[in-house]
Amino acid sequence: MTDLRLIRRDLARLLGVSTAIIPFASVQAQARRDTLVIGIDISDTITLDPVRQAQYTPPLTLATCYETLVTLVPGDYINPKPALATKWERTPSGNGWRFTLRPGVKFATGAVMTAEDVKFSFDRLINVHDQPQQYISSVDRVEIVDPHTIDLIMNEPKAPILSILCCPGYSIMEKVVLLQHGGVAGVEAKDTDKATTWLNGNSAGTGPYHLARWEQNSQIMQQRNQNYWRGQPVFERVIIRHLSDSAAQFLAVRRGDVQAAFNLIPEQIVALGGDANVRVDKLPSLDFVYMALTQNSAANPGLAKKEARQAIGYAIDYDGILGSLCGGAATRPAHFLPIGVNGSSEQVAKEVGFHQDLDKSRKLLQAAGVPDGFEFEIAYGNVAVAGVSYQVLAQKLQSDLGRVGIRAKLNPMDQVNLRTTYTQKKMAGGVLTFWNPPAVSNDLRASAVVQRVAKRVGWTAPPEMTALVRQASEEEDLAVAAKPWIEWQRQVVDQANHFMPFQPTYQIAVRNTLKNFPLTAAGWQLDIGEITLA
Amino acid sequence: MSRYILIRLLAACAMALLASLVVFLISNVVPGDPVLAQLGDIAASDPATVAMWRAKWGLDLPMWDRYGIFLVGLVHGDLGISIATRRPVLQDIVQYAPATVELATVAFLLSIAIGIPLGIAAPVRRDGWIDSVARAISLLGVSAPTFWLAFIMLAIFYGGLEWAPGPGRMDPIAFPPDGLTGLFLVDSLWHGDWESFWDSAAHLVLPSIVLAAATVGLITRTTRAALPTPTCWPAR
Repeated sequence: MTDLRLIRRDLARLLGVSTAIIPFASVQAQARRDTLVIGIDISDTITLDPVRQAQYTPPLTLATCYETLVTLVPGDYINPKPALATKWERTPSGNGWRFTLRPGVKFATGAVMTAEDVKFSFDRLINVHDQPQQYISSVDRVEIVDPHTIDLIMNEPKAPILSILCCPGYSIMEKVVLLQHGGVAGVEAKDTDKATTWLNGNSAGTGPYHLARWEQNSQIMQQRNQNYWRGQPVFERVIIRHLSDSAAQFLAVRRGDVQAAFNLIPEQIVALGGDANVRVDKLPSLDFVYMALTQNSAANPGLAKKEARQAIGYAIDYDGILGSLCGGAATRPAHFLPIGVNGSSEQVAKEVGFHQDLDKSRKLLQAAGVPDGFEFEIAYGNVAVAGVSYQVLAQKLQSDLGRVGIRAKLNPMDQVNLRTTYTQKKMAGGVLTFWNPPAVSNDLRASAVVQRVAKRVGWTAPPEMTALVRQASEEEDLAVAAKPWIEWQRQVVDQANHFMPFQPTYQIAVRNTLKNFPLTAAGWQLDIGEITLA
Repeated sequence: MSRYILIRLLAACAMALLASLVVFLISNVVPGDPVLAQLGDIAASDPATVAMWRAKWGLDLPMWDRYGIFLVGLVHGDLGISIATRRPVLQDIVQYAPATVELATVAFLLSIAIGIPLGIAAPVRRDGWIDSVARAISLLGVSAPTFWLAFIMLAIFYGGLEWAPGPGRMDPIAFPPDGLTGLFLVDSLWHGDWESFWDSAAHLVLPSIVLAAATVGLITRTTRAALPTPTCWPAR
């Protein structure tokens, strides 16, 4: 009889029928309370070395393991706040920024952070010369003033830098630990630095949790930093679980296997409405979907005329895209400055951006000499962004444009092919794509428009416009800077090489076991160290 | 006999070479540029940076030179660095292979355990309920796409009934068992770690049923066809 009971019990275990009767269930329950599990697609994570990362999801992990001199708090993406630096000001000679370091900050190893660590971190970043360095190419070097003060010496002293430094790519790392694992900060670092391998499974930062394990395309595990300067973090462990499928995330968050799911589609968000254990937290992102349109007459003569491109801008039903396609969980900027950054608001977008006006569109087509419209191609990837597939968006654009006689030919393609087509300036017409710059910086966005993105669409930005971007970027008084930013948006909207269908709102399913769940649009999606239990 | 084996082995090598050539050619004629796909936005727009990475990965060499390098590396067990993961390809295979082997083994054993008895029982009770069940399983297994069946099973037994654990090899909060093989069942048994054993076994149930479903039908039909006709069996 005993044997039979054992067989039944073992069979039940094997089928996973009754996890509750498993003897170690109470241990598991405790572990579950001490562990935060987040379900998210992290297939783009190829490195967790801050100085080498250029992808979308790694900042979520990096911002948990590491901290930066200054940071951005959710809701305010304009004014940097103190983090590892308590104070910053111009250097006495005006050639850079002087940072006063926070005293008593310890790394996860227990060692106290000093100016040596800050200098080493920036020297390595600059000399490894990977993507994060290219966003702060205006920084020349770091000089130590005293053990608690450093100067960031710049080759372009007026270049905007503070908001970029908030990005996890500019993390402060423990010098001694990195040296032990092949880290190099000298000019030879580009070829000789070997710390990345170690940093892909460990971390050397001051953040609330430290990296304990990374299994690519599986999960990232972080452990509590016992020496965290803000006090003991809530969880013993944080697990960022790779779930590429939104349906799997949906089932997992309902079941409680993950406490938050990041990649749900609008239908799943609606379906969660009836679940008392799960809520949907929303936050307007600073990401955006856009359509770039070439003006290269060899690619499409119809698009060479500005009026013809403007006609496209006035034919699109933006409200329909926001309402029907995005389910209301989106907004729309005028151009590459998303709603929420300096000089961009819904009011500005209304005043400066395109809006649907079919009569005006038809008149512009007449002015362009193509009253019966013209044909052009829209290329896009076979993927979705914020739950909206590019295919559906392209079909909506095709339908809208057809009302004024513009015939859009849809060309779905693999993402790699799309990127090649766009980057190599081989576009036959339009390209639908998405951008999320690594740092909240108007300069990064606007410079991209007038430089590399301009080249891709066959446009040479006039010197006055480049000067306008520079003027706005270098203005330290944000209220003053807002005016040239608005004027810049007005000019690039008129140029009509880019159209902005929507700027998505993050919709994250969160179990009610979590109380504070501070989402951020600053680039790392969530301040994991600030999460609290209900 | 040895001559036959030698010929077959040579033919297998030739086929493998041909297959590698076809795969290599396909990867070269697709329009996507692997360098641009991997670089960040600024780097991808800088011709000098793109050229540097192209040279670093050997993509600036003529195609046949690259194929030669690939073959030489293959012979020496060097499969190169994956541009998707930036790790040695061999390391990726070593990481992912145990999970595949473990699942495939369990699924294979399951399909044998179900398929052969069903194939034997069906003709014995021709047109009886066992035969009908065997036909139904065969039909479902052969005709249902694996990805569809996987999601349906997940939705019913994980999301709906909450009988089975979710995706992954173990519970997210569990630590994988230590061991050399990477096969969680074997490693956990080796260390007497029953918690990990039951956890990983439970996570194998749904995926192995889904995978087995595709082959159970085939095995059942093959076994059924291989048996003597029902007239040879004793009358009921």
